[in-house]
Formats: sequence, C-alpha cells, structure tokens
Amino acid sequence: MNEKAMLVDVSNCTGCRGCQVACKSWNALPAEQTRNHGSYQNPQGLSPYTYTLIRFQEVDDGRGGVKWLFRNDKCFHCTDPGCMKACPVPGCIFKTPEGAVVIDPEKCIGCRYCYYTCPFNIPQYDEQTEKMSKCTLCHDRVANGLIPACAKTCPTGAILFGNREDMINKAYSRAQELGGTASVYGDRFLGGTHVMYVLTEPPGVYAKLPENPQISTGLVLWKEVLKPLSIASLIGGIGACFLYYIIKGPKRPEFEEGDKSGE
Amino acid sequence: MNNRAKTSGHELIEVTNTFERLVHWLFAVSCILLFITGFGLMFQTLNMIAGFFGGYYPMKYVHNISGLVFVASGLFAVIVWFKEGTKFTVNDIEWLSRAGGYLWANRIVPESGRFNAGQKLYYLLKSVTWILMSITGLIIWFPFLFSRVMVSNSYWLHALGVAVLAGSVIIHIFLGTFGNPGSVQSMLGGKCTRAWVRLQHGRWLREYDSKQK
Repeated sequence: MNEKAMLVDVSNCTGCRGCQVACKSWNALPAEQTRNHGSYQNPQGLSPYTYTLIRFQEVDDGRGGVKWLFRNDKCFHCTDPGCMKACPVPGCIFKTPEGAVVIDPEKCIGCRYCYYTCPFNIPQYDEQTEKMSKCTLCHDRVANGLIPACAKTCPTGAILFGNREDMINKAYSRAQELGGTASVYGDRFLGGTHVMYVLTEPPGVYAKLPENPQISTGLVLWKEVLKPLSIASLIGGIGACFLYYIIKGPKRPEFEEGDKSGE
Repeated sequence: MNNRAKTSGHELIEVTNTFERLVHWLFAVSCILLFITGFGLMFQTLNMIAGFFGGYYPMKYVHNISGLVFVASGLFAVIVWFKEGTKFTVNDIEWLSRAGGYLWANRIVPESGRFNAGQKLYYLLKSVTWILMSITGLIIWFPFLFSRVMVSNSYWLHALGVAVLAGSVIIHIFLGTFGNPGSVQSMLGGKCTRAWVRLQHGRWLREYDSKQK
C-alpha cells in the first residue's frame, strides 16, 4: 500500500497564499469577487471554487501584543470519511490507493449529505451546477508521481507531501523540536487523516478546527442501525403476513342467508 | 333482527365516499413511490432502482416531487379521518386486547364502527409518521434554511420513519387485500357486500340500517 499524506507545518507558514493560487491554477478554478471584512482573511471561507485557503487569525500573545496564526485549510481526506458513508450514489465519493477522498462531479446529485456529515464542514455546494466539490488531494497529480499543487508551490516548506509513515514521523519530531504547546493534529482521529498538521498552539485556538472531530452518532445510527432495521421491517412485515395467511387464513364473510357470520 | 337476516349478503353498501378514496390513493401512490425511490437512495446495492428511474439525479427528483404529494394528500388524510381515527371506545380496548381476533383464540371480537381499533391505531401511526417524514424530508431537501444540527438529525429521523413504516404499510396492504377478502372494494368504487360489512363493521351496519328506515 502506497499510502501518502500531506503535512502542514503551521510554524513555517508565512501566509503568502501561494497555495491558494496554485490550487486554483491546477484545478482551473475561477477567481471570486471578495470583500474586505476588516482582516487579512480573504476569501472568507471555502467555496465550490476555493478548495483551500489560509485562515488568518490575530490572537493575544499573552504579553500585550498580537500573534498571527496562519493555517492552510482544506479537506482532511479521512481514512474513515463521514461524507463517503453518507453519500447515496455508488462510486460518487471514492478513495484512491494513496488515501485521497474524491468526489466525482459526474455522479454527484447535489443532495448535500456529505456537507452535513463531514466533521470539518468541508464539501461545498454549487447552486449553479447542483454539485458538491472539495480538495481532491490532487489525486490526478499524485497518481502520476507528482505532489499536490499547493505542496509543490509552497516556498517555505510548510506544506509537505510524502509517504504517510514518513510524514507522521516528521510531524512528531518537528512538534518536539518546537516544544511548548506544539502538537500533531490528524494522525489519530477518523481512522487517521491524510492531511495532518504540526500546530504551534493548542487545536482549540484555531478557527474552524474541531478539537475532537468524529463521525456523528446520528450518522452511525442512520447507516449502521436504522438502515438494516428498515430492511428487517420490510422483510419481517412480509414474513408475518405470509405466516398469518398460511396458518390462520383469510377472514371471509359468510354469504348464506340467515347466517350470523362473524360470530 | 329478522329483517336484517333476510337481507341478501350480496347487497352492496357504500362504505367510503369518493373524496376519501381519492385522498387514500394519492397518499398511497406517493408512499409507494417514496418507498421505492427512498430505498434506492438508502441502499447503494439497490442501484437497479436508480437505473429504472434513469439515474440517481432523476430518482432524487421523483422522491422530492412524490414527497410534495405525500405532504399535501397526507394533510387531507389526517383531517378527513381525524374524528373517527382518534375516538377510542371501551369496545376498542376489548378489540385490541384480543388483537382484533387475528392472532390468538377465535375471531370473536366486539363489533366495530366504521373504523375498528386496529384501523384507528394505523391512523395514529400514519399521522405521526406523516408529520415526522414531512418535516425531516423538507429539512433534508432545503438544508440551507435550517441549522446544521437540525439537518444532520433529520437524516436518521427520516430513516427511523422508514423502519417504522415499511413493516406497518406491508401489514396494512395485506389486511386490506388477501387477509380480509372483500375489503379492497372499499377503496375501489367504495361498495362492499352486506356480508362483509356485517363481519367487519357490525355496529356501523346497524347504524346504517337504522338510518335507512
């Protein structure tokens, strides 16, 4: 198994947004008109035409000053993806041997189940095409021996791509090197994701980053319990009726004159 | 009493009106279409259902449009049978304690009105699931109008409705056809034989006869 992974070392990120541009370029995604909201955050979030972006944050550094946080946000490519579990169309969301989770736009019917079951709210709905889209981990590049466009373009080496084992090892040694509150994010939950971080702050500090992402109980209940139960209900109903019919038979009215039928 | 016994068991008596039958069949057809397309959307292995409807995208729309018919006809169904469907009597409790004479002992049960206790229970079950499926269905269809928590919980609640309905609808269809010969006429033309009404809805027949005089 040639499992790959991406490692985003936020301590090396300078917020240049080269990854945003490279992603748009490789995936032929149009630019969007954006508005200034009073911060460097631009665009405001993911969209059907923005698969990745830098999330900017200004946080108190504890010494009366301000600290900037940059986080490259995109699909995490879970080993156990909620989106894929929820998708009704066979083969619409699939996993590549390298570990990417990809939406096939040809098969997508725009039900949006994937958005509402993704622990990170990643897939985006396009009103015009009625399709969902998200980061593909450049599976087309990776299948041909290249690395994803964002990793390729990153000038500081904040976005790394390689064998998953190597990336995990690199992540832990880097987190140790950084010390303090630095930690590795992504190697443990949801079966292990294929996009991981070395975070300098505790995960809770970062915007739009869940501290403990997991498949919701509702999704498990839906797919693991109620789905088989509905088939059991259908088959059980048919079976019960059939048994009743052969054991007790139909309840027929009596037509003979003067007969007090039913009594 | 003598008069009743002498009346032919083959005489046809109208037991439902046209409006009731129309509401019933609109509701029924939408339910069946929703079941078929819904199972197609829930089970990827049943992809031949999507094939039948020309793909998953058209099947989604058949499901949604049938859903609208379901919401509208269900509203009429709930209203039309509200009075009879919600009024339980002492006889009904007795009827239920004997499972309508279907399962154990013999088939002697208290005489029923136009609805027997089982039908009243089915009415309540359909009313509750109609509300559940309509609300969760519309939330799933138009998720952007609702909160994320509401949408993700609607998925499993919608599936819960299916699990409850699948078996009960099968039993409903069986009891209205093979289980009780003569019953299906009540929804096809609406006229059933006197013998059938005497067996199934004895109290209603007596009321009917007394009104005829």
